[in-house]
Amino acid sequence: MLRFNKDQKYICFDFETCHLNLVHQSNKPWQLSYLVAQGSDILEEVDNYIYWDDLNISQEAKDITHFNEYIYKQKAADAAQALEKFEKYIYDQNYLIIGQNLLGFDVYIHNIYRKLLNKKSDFSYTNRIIDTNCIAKAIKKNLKYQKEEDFICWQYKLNDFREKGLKTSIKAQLKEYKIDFDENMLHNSMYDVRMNFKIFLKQIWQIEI
Amino acid sequence: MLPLFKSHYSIGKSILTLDDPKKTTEDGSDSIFKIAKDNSLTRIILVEDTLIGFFEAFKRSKELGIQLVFGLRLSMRNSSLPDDENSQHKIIVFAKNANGCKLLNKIYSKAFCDFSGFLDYRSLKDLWNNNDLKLGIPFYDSFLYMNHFSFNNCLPDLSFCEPHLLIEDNNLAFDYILKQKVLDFASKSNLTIHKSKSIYYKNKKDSIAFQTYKMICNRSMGKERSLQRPELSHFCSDEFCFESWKEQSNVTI
Repeated sequence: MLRFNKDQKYICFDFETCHLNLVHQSNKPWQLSYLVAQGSDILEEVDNYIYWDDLNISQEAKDITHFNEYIYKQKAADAAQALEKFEKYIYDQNYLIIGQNLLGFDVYIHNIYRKLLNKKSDFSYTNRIIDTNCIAKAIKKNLKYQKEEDFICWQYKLNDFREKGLKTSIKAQLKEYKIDFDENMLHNSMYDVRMNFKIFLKQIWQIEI
Repeated sequence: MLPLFKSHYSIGKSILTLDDPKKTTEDGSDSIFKIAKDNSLTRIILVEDTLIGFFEAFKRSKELGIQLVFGLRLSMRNSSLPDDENSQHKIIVFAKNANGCKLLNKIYSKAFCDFSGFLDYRSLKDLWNNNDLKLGIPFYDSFLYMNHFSFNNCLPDLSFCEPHLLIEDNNLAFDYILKQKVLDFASKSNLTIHKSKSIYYKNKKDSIAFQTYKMICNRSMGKERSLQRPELSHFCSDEFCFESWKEQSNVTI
């Protein structure tokens, strides 16, 4: 079980994007943040602002993510280099991949990112994903993972599971786990990643995975 | 690879029409028959969710000398009992001949008149004839998909026919996982597999028009939708098109 496996390697990631369309290549990822960990020890934190010539962020996304053009212009760096380093981790079989709503959003943003750089789709890493949004639903609904089932399929079931009043956002989980957080910082992907990893470390004590 | 066309008669599922190729315009909607003519297809496989477009498709294919293979995509449940509501999944019933088309009509009428838009396997079995009909298991929304990717519990009785399993590759994140499930099932049950491609629009760039159409057809209330917030889960591929079929037909899945 992960709670006892202190050697397990993790990458926890999050994208910030221009809007919420999962197929349109105008939805460029402009921030990619991740942390690399072993057990509960964080070994590295990476916060990339990704440079695109023609970034067009919706007003709604700007408001939610507190997009700051000045910071973006100062920090934005080469898109290909950022992706290359990130993919060394996610395509490494030794890493489990953690994130909030990865199955419903971020894997598709990663795919857009690849397409923008003329790379073919490659979702082969997705069977090592642990989606904290799905796990939160399982914990709340007291659904246990059965070992004979594919873990990724079980998460997909949860990903599409909707119930009125079921709150599983990062903010809701932080409140529930009584983790101190700054609400104004949420939706900055680096901050979200840090908070998300704390949530994950709590979750593995509530569910047997 | 089988191109499985769908027309706008399957409401909310496709932006392709069955229009006469001569009457289509450059900036108008794309016709399946125009695509067929332009690409020298001698056969069209049309998989629809209703029979509304059947006559038009039949008439047009006769006029143009194109063979029409018609399949009806149908919702199935383990039984008609309310407890089995969460066993809904899709099958495709293909007509092999004229008699098969008549049987399709009976099956469709049964599903929409005696039941509320679905059938159970007992009713399908009563109407089934292997000489006239062929059963296809679609890649998405089949019992395999539902059992592995949703909390539905589907127990299909396929003993009365020899189903053909369809596999697709549309760059959805779970395609490769689902494909393995289908291959495993086919291997255990000794069933035939066909590579296929669901086609809802002509070119990849048309995916945005299709997305817009889906948003318009979406009847659920709640959040406002736009292309920047489409609220269409897993709408993340532009591969459900003829252009993609042409590309993939030259490569192995």
